[in-house]
Amino acid sequence: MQQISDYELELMKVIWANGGAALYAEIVTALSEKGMDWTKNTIITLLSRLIDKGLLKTNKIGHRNKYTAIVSADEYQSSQTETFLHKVYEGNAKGLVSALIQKDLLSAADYEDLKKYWDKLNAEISHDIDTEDC
Amino acid sequence: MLVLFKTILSLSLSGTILILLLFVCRPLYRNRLSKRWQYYIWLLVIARLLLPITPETSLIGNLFRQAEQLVEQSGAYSPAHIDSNNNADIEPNAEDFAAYTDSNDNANIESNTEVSSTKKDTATDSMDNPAAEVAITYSRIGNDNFPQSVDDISESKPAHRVPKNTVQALCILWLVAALLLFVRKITVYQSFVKYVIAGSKPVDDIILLERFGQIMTENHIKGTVELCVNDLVSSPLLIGFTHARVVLPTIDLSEDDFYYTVLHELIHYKRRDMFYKWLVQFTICLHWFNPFAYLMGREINRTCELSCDERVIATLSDKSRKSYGDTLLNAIGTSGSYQDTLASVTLNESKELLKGRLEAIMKYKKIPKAVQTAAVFITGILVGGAAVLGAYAAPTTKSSTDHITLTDTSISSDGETTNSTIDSSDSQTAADTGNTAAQNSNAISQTPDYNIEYEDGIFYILTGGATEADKPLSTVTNGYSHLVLVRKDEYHSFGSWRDSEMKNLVRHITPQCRTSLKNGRMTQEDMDIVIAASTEIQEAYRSGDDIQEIYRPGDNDSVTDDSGTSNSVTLYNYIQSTYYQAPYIIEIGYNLTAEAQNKYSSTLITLSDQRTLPVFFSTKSEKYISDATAMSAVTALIERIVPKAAKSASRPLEYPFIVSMEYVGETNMDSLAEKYYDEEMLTYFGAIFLELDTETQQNYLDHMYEDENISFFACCIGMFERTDMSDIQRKKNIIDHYILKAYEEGKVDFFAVLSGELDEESRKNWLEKCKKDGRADYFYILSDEYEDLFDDADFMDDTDYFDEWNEFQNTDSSYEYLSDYLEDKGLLDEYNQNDIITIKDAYYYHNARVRLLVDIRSDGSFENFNYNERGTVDLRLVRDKNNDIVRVEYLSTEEAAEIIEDINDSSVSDDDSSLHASSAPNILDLTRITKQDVSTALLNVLDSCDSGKWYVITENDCQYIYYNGLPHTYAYEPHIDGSETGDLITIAITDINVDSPLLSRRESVSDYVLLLFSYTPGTEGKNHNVEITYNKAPVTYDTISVASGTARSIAALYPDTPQAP
Repeated sequence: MQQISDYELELMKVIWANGGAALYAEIVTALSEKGMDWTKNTIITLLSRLIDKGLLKTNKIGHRNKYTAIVSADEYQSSQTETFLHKVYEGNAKGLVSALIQKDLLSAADYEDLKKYWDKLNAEISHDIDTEDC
Repeated sequence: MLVLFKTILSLSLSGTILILLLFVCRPLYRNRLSKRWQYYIWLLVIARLLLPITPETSLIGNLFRQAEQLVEQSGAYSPAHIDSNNNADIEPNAEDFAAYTDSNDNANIESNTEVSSTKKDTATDSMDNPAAEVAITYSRIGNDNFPQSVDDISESKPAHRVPKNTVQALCILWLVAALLLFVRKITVYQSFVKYVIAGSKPVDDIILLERFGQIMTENHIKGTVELCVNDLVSSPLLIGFTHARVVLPTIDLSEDDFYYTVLHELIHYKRRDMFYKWLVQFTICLHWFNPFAYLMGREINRTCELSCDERVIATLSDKSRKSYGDTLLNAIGTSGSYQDTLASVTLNESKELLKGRLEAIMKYKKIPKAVQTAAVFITGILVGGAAVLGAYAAPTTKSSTDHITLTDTSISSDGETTNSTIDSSDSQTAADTGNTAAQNSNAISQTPDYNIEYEDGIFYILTGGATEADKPLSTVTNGYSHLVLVRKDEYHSFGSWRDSEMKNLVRHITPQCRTSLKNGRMTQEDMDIVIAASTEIQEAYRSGDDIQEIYRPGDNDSVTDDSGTSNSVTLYNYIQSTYYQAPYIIEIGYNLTAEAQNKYSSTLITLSDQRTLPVFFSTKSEKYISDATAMSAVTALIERIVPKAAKSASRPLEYPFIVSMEYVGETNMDSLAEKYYDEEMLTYFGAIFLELDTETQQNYLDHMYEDENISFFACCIGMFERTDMSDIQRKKNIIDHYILKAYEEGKVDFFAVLSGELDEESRKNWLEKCKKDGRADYFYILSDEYEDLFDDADFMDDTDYFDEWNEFQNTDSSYEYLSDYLEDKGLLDEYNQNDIITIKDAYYYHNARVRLLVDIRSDGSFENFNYNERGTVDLRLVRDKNNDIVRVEYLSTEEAAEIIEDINDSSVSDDDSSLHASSAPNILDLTRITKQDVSTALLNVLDSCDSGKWYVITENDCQYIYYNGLPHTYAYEPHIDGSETGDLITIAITDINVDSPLLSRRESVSDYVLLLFSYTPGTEGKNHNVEITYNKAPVTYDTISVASGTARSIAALYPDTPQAP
């Protein structure tokens, strides 16, 4: 999957939040609710870049374009996580998870609760990576 | 194909003459006409080079034909051959000639005589030799070849074979070369584009993208343009036709450089310069053998850049212009590795060109109107010239000749449209609108028309185009009825009356009208309207109709309805307006009544959210139901309005109704706008107003403002409602611009229109500003617009605008300018003689603004008084016994401070409690009271009193003075003074207009004066002798004694008064 810029990601989020497809007007409204009052040219340009990158497709409804996400938010997230994992941790999911755990953001109780979950997840990811590596 | 080649040759020759003409004349127009003209005039040459259109007689066409026939005559053709030629080939020519020889019977003889007669011409024509030579070769081949195409397979002689082959080879060479050249240009361009795109990265910086988008919005550039950066290109450029993109060599640019660079490229995009460039390339390919075509190509490239620069700097100040030049220079610093200017539109091409461009930037000046007209004139001449030059038109049949003439005219009219855009003749439009505006106002005054609306005890008579928005704030009515005549920018109030009085309204209102008429406060026309409306209202009261129902606000139709039927009208909210939806102008209404729905034909449309909606069509527009284009326009329009309708407070869009449709096409909004403006087609003009470019919109607004064409202005301002969100700032700017202008220039009507468009914040700011400037009239307009907000409790707590409004009575709101006020009082000349002048709402004395102006008569009373808190000097005008000004002196600081303190005190303590003094009034403790305070018996007496007469009424232990029908300036408490000498009581009532506007002014109580002047509880029947003066003149009065009844409410008002034994 091609990398997309932060602003393109904002657009994707808007489209995902709108049920995976949105009209231009809906995108504008959603963006301005987020305080991003971009000009029309910016929005259309970013949208067509996303089309070029294969994350969106467009089809006409009357005179208007409907932008549909080809990649779901979940797919995008897992793909990004994978990229990140390979790039930064060289595929070592344990390293990633331990780095997350080392963050001082959890209380002791939370930590205990989450530990089991993390362990389980850790096992799953390691398993996935192992099978992929083979 | 030979015919084609022959045509090309003639076109090339004809075009070359034009090219040479333009080059030769260049020193003449170079610095005089706009670069834009210099750029687009080449389109004419290109048209000449590409289009084989020609009038029936043209120089080049004749030349070629003569040559052709020369060959025929001298050629060794058999008679049979000539015959066949005559039939198939020459005959149409002969027909052409016949147009001016008036005979077409014998084609053979015709052409022969024609040839012999034109021989001499040919010899004398200086230009004809080379052309004739070529043409001779040609026509020979043509004639030779022709028989084959008509299946006349006569054997050609070997002697003719050699030239035929040569020329044919030449012809093929030309075509192949042209094709190859063009294909090569395309492939080079394609690979260039590919190369540029491959190496370019899209700009991710949202700030740059936004700036880029902003520039597009500001310049009303439609479509989408991608922004890329590629360090391999040597200069900024614009590539792509369908997916245009601006490619910059670097984004490491200063804000200015970025702005100018991008703007320049975007202007290329907006003007579709790449299409022009390709058209030029195509022309050059076809005329590859003509060196002048290349010369032309270079010149077009040059003027393209120059005119683009011109367009960019037209909006810039001198300083910005310099920095634009800097940008050009900076751009040359960045070097890239791929140089290609073939067909891309680039910011800069060569240093020589750059030098020229810089020079042009520095020399830039606005082209004067006269020169613009000259440009149109010259263009006209050139178009004419191009047409007369003509070309060799292949022998054609009659029908195709018709066709050609048709395209010919369309081309020349195209040329004219180019002219009109260059010209955009403003003065003409301005003059026209001036006339129409005048006609407009005439039309209004000739047809006095009014609507009556009843609300909270007040009858509003709306006239002169006034709408609900023009109604003044409601005043306290105390259960009595008032009548207010509302015009767009002024109003008069009358009253007040009890319900029982309303049955004789006309009798009551007439004296009030006469007074106002006499004082010049209203016109005869106003009075006619008031009387007419009063008669109507009076009748409604007499017949016992439900007043509330008949005169319900906003339901104008019911006024003309016979009473009774109006009750059955169901309330609906039909909204109608006109839109432009390419390629139609559509007048659409919605929320059609059920009753009307049955009357009109309808069809179902499907919206994008799969909702189906019935659309109704008026009889006039029914025919469009079967028209697919029209229907898709209707659907698109409804799609467009639905969200807006949903947002507004009114009902959502249902039952749309197409009132009318007009096909206008998608081209040339400018001329369409001009037409609608000239013909005063307001709704149509409004519909397309937003389709015009920003500059034109601005121009029109300026015109309307200058011409005081308020209706058009209001309509256009309102149109901004329909724009995208991105235009909100622009709308705000426009409104801010004009409202300030209207405020400063005292154009109340424009101010009122614009104030309706202000957002909440701006309105608050304006209210503050008016408050600070003491502009009560403008404050009033704003607070009127603000009425909705008065319901908002928070806002009320925040600032009590009603109270502040009262404070504003310091300035006389009935006069926009002090000079008018002074003129009315006959003081203007006198003041001017004493060096006191007025500017708008302030007095000036020796160039200093006056803070306090105290004009005192010899008897110590005020002739005039004015307070302006922004003033710097305080003046006293001293008058002698003849009431002439003796001297003007400055007030001492103490004096001034004292007076100002008084002013502030009076405005603070000025509340209703003074109306009802809590302790007992002694004799002469004059109190103005309302009819609600008195006994029923007295009320009946008061009701039977005539308007415009003074009464002294005695009731038990009270004595009153009563007068009904004061002029509307009595919205404020009159100044009352009294003294007692023995049994004689003297009461002086002074019209506030005569005395200082500052003293004792208060919000309206009513238009009558009821004065309790003596209240001595227990001393029943005690009568005083009273002397009343009104404005210093003694008045006569009737005396009435109310025998019965108790003054219960008076006693209640003064509970503390001890009863006399």
